[in-house]
Amino acid sequence: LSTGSAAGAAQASQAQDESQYVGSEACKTCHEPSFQSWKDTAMGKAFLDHPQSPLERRGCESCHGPGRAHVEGGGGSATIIGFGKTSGQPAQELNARCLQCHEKGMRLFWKGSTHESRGLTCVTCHQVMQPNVPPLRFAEPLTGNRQFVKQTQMEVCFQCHKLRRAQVQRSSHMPFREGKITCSNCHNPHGTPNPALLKESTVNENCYQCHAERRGPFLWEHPPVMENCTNCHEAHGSSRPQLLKASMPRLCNQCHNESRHPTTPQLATTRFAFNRGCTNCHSMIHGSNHPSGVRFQR
Amino acid sequence: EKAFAQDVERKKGHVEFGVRQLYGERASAKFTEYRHIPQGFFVQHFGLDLDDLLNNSFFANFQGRETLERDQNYLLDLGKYRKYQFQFRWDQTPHLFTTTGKSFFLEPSAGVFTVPGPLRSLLVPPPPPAPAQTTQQRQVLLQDALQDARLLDLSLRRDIGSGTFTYVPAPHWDLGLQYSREKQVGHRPFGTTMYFGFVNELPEPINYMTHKVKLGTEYGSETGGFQLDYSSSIFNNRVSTLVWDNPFRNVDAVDNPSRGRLDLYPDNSAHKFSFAGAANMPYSTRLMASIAPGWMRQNDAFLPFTTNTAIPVCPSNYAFPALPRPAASLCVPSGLPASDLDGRKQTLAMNFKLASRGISALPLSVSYRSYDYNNDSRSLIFNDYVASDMHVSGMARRNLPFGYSRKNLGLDAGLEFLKNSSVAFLYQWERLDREHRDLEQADEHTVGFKFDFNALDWLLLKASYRHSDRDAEHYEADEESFPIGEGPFGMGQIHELRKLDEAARKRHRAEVVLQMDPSETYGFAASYGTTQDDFAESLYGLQKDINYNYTFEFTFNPHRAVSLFAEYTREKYKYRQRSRQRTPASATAAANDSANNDWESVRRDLVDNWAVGWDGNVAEKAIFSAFYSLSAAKNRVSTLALGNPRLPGFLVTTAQDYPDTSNRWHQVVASFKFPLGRGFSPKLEYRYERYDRIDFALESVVQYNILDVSLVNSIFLGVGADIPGYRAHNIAVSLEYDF
Repeated sequence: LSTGSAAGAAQASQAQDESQYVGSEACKTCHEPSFQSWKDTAMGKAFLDHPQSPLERRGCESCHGPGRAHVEGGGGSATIIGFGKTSGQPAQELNARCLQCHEKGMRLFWKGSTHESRGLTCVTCHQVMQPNVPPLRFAEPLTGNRQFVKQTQMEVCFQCHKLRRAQVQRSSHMPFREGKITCSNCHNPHGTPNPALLKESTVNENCYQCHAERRGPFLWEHPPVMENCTNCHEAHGSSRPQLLKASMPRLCNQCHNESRHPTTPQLATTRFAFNRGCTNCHSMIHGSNHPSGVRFQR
Repeated sequence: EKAFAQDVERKKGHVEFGVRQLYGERASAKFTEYRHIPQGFFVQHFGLDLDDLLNNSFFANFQGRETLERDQNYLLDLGKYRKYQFQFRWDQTPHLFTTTGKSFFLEPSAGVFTVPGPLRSLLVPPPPPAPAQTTQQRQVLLQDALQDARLLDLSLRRDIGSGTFTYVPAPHWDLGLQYSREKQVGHRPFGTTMYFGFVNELPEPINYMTHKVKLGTEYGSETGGFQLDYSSSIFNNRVSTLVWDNPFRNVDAVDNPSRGRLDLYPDNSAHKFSFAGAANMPYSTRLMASIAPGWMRQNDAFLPFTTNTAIPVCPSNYAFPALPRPAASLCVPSGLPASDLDGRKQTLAMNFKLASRGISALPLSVSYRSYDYNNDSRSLIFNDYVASDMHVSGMARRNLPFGYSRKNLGLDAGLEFLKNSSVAFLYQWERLDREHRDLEQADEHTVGFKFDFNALDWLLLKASYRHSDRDAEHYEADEESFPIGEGPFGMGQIHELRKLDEAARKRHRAEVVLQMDPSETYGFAASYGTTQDDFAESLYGLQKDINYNYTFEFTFNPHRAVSLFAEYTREKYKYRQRSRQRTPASATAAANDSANNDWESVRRDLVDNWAVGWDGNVAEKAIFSAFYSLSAAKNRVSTLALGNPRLPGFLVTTAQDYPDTSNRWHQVVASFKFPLGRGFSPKLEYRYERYDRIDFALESVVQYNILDVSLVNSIFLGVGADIPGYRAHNIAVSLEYDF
């Protein structure tokens, strides 16, 4: 703690002193390959060709801090802000370098968010100095932003969310591994005010982004459906059809204990258990707008 | 740094094209569930990156994947640095449900399914005095008809086109406009019914169009910022009804309609405003807030109660007798209480959060969230309705506009004891107020802690534990008996049942993640997670929901250009639920509602995931990447009657264990790439996939013509939507060219 804070304080002090900046050309002297790589990135072009603030005009030192001590000391990690694993800076100080420019957009709710409070840094997931290579194992949607530390965004998330990697490989899945959707279609890992870092206010509002037909309002609504899709479905992958958490009729038996057929255990060879189980007949289970659709059969 | 420089040599474009050959059993829909893998010539991906146009002021980037295939997608980005950007995206996603579906129904117009006249004349029982068909005769007729049935295309295609424009009018400001158009067209298997015991599966026509618009602006500076957005989504279903013939009846009769009609998803719209802002305050404190009101609308015209012309219509001045109604009085209301629902829902999400590091080692955040889901749709009383176009139900019904309000309060207080290492206490409170549900108010309190240790650059440990306690003190099981329960002819919900989303619940949740990289050569990671839900007050319904998972990962990098990995994940799930078989009173027997008819079901799921792989150079000019992965799931449902079968009134004769279900998905991929210089890299890739599935629920319908043994006269007329296993070899020779 003391080492990181002291270095941070020293950096902060130096950052105020213009004489401590040496310019990107000086950095290039020793870090030519990194400079050449970075200058072609969107950030490099913005800083080098179209700077909009004094901070951006500092080029490399915008992020790495003033370099005079580093140059005069002949290099070394103690005199410059590094973003690698051996960086001596605490997470929030590294993040502060990025947030100088990136606190807008999806990062508006970063501070105090799940990932910020668990000590993640921007460079836990992103790298800006190196282009990426096409993935072999999981495909992902085309994007203009490929600055991840792993080949795909999903694999970035799987670094910590290891269960999700197993779930997307299940037999019943959304087209994650086919590269049609990815984690950030539903979640904003930079922080949102919503549960589970969802982009929309609720689980259902998220699901309606692709399943607008389920949105209603319907004349006859099935309350657990309208309240939360995950009462019945596991969005990340399931070994049962339709991403269901349990096979029918047991899924429905959990809540339906009236009389007659919903209370009977039902043999495996009946229409209550095979094919789509209960929804063989109650097919409008997500909601019906038919005046005779009270049992979701019309 | 020199080696690194070789890695990062930037190119302006790339393309990979080649030829592909497939072998093996690959007729299963699972093989091409969301993708298209044609044989022969293919263009895997291409990209053109013109990022330095006109003196480094403008950029244009165009990339594509699976070109000219049914899962193709393209992305075009162009604009002026720091000023504006256009982004256009086109994406096609197929969704194949089954390749085995067959039906003798014809679809002369969208959503209308008819039985060919000659066939119907065979299937419709002859009028008396000719003897009625026996079950066996009907089955033979159906089997003959289905032999000549047409093969169905049970697939969807989702086409999404979108355009985004962002503009930076001044430093700190952004403007954005986005439009997308999504079209879904196809058919999917869909169950319909005409009377209890007759399931007639048909291809549901899908022809959806969804337009979305979003526009907004944002301001951000060192002191904070704000965002204003408006978004709109308009959904249109171009086939709004499903009409189908009864193959066994060509004249309407009470209890035996000649056709059925079902209302498919209605058109709807949703609109939302979003206001979000944040202010950086003294003492490293940031205040964040958002308010997002939304509206959902739906006013599709109601269909009539039924298409069955044999059901008597009540006179317009008819006074419906009290429930239960005598059979002689049953008639369908002459009109509807309204022409449409005038469905209206308003949502309002409000969030406030204060995050502070006033004392840098003591991070603190406090948050409050409120989400209202107000349902202002009409609540209409239907004096009666027609069950499955069959007969008048004899029950009045009123639709209930369900709504809820959820409020959350959260506190997160941490202590950083080392660099990047902290322990934090958390508390959360949630209040859920519901309308028209069994439980109108529930409180849930959660306490827990988080522990993060990352002070050493080679060791990361993250752990968390939460305990939640949700009450359900005022649960009223009768709330649903009218208007959507069983009504006066049934018994209503068993009073001791607690629905899982409303029941009192104690939850324990723990997660641990460990990552160790003691050297650049080795790495090890492991994780453990469990969620244990105990519904102790639920005498019936779900009682336990317990799951565990753990993962091990190992990486080995013997050389800078070579890496190997191995992964293993195991998941275990266990659920226990309890129910009671109940029979309501009839003309000949009293109600049977005895604890001796209780039964219990336990579900156990076990899922294993394995993967091993290699990535790197095998020679100076040969890069080899390969992996094998296996996902194997096994599910068991055990059911047991809890009563004594020797006691009178014992009903639970169908409690049996279901056959185990399982599926396995293997994947082997091996890729050789030979960089030749000047950007040319020939590539040889082999992929093997194997999917095996055992599932009684699907295997028993592949005959797509089953007499349901649960009822003598019942019939299941399915489309035979099976998803069998597959074994597919995919060999591709391609050329990558970077330029």
